[in-house]
Amino acid sequence: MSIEDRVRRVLADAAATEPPPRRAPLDSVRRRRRRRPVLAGAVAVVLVLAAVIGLAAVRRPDRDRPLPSTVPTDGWVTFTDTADNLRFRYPPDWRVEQPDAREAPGTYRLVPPELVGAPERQRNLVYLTSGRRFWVGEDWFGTTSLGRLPGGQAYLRADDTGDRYQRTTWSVDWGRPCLNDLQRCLPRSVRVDLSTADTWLWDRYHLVVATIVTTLAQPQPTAPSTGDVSLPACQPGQWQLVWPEEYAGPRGEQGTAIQGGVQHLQGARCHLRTTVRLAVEDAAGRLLPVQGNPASMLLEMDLPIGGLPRESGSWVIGVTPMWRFIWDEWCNRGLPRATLRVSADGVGSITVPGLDPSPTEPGFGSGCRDRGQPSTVHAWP
Amino acid sequence: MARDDPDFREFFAGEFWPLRRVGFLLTGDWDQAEDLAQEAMARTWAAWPRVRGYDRPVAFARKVLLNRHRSLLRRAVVEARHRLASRSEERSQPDFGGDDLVVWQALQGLPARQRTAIVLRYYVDLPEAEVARQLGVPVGTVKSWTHRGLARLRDRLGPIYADERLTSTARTEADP
Repeated sequence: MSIEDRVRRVLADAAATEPPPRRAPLDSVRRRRRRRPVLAGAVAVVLVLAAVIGLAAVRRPDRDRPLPSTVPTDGWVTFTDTADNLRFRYPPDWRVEQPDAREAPGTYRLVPPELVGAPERQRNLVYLTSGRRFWVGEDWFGTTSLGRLPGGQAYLRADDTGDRYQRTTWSVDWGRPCLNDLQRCLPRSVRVDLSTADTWLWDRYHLVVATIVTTLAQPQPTAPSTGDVSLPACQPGQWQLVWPEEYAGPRGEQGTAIQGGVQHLQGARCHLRTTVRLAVEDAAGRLLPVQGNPASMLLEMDLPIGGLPRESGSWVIGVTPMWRFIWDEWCNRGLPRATLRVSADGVGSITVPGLDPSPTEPGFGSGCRDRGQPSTVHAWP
Repeated sequence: MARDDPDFREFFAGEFWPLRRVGFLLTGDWDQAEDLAQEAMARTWAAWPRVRGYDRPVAFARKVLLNRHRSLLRRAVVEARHRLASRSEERSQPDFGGDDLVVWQALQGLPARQRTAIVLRYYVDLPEAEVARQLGVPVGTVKSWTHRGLARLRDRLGPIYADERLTSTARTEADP
């Protein structure tokens, strides 16, 4: 099933859960304007009552436990998934569920004791998934940071506090295992998502989940996700840089992400290790006064399997190593519409048109404002 | 006045519930959805002498709902009220399991513009040009929002959709 079809079905199913209305709809509409003068007062009363209820809720004794600075793992249970080369430990009173083993192997739900059988479980989730995707995807919501597990695996952590959820995602480099069901060895990652709509659950469990992440281990050692260095080195003419012709907006629209991959052109399998550079230039090819300009990063992968896949006319992002740069505060006054030149050794460069820093119509990037902060460009993550 | 207008009654009977469902998909909250749908209907009623002559009065009502939703997002106080209220009493939520739950939660976590574009495109089944008209943005912007939203959903469903892509890629590479 395509993602579009799945979204259609989920939206239709969600809307089908419609409860009865709180009041007679047409009569309510008729009264609506007459009620307006008292609406503000009613809202104030509701706010005060809700604040009192909320305060009482957070002060309930069983939810007022102080935060631990560390989480001891004595007595924790070990879970092993040999098919996904995955092992982790979790508290004995938690439950590990596999929501759909057939459709989504390698996906587990970790349920803390308070949520077993509780209605709040639907909006408080801990998911652990193992999949064939590169560990650096597009998790640049909120604040991102890099780290390493005790076993040495690199991870990208993204923390976000949204309107309704607090969320942390760890995306862990799980190497390039050659699993039994695969003809090829592909990059894999393990992803742990903690998402809660209830603050007390967040306060109680985010350190526990962070500790579970630190227990992640590989029963069998794997090759690096960036490829097989024993393969012949890729030569110029075997590959080229590609840009998927789209922009992304990390950290709102104050930052614009320029990301892409490489396309295999010809030749046998090879190992690519190259430095990719991004230069932010004006129309005459002069570097613009942006901190970190030009930026560079190391790109390493095997070709052709590591190349950026193209599907239905679109480049697919997230399943291979990619080059990624972020230009923060790109719309500061004094910066013209830039030309972004991406280059790599031996293969020339591609030109990415910069966004209009003062757009005349709504569109991507039109929410960017000069906030008086320095304009910077850097590789990501 | 439209109070006893049979046309408005008929319009209301046919369109209130779909509007309420759209409101729910935008907010994830049936109470907010009902408020949005009622506000949209109240304003449509106020403008009914003019709106009744439109080819598709529901487009007017839906646009009111979308604008109202956008205003709600800007009003942190109202959001806070709903957040607090939702903690004190259990809200009605879809009883999803497995990946559908992940999709639903991911949809709720999308930026409002991306979520709105996806709901209008894939639930209301509007063409991109109509979505653009309803949201007051260029078609290219709708394409971008939809694309980015779906990309995030794919990212959340990585194990399934990454496998699909790589399978197809591997087939392509095997071709002479």
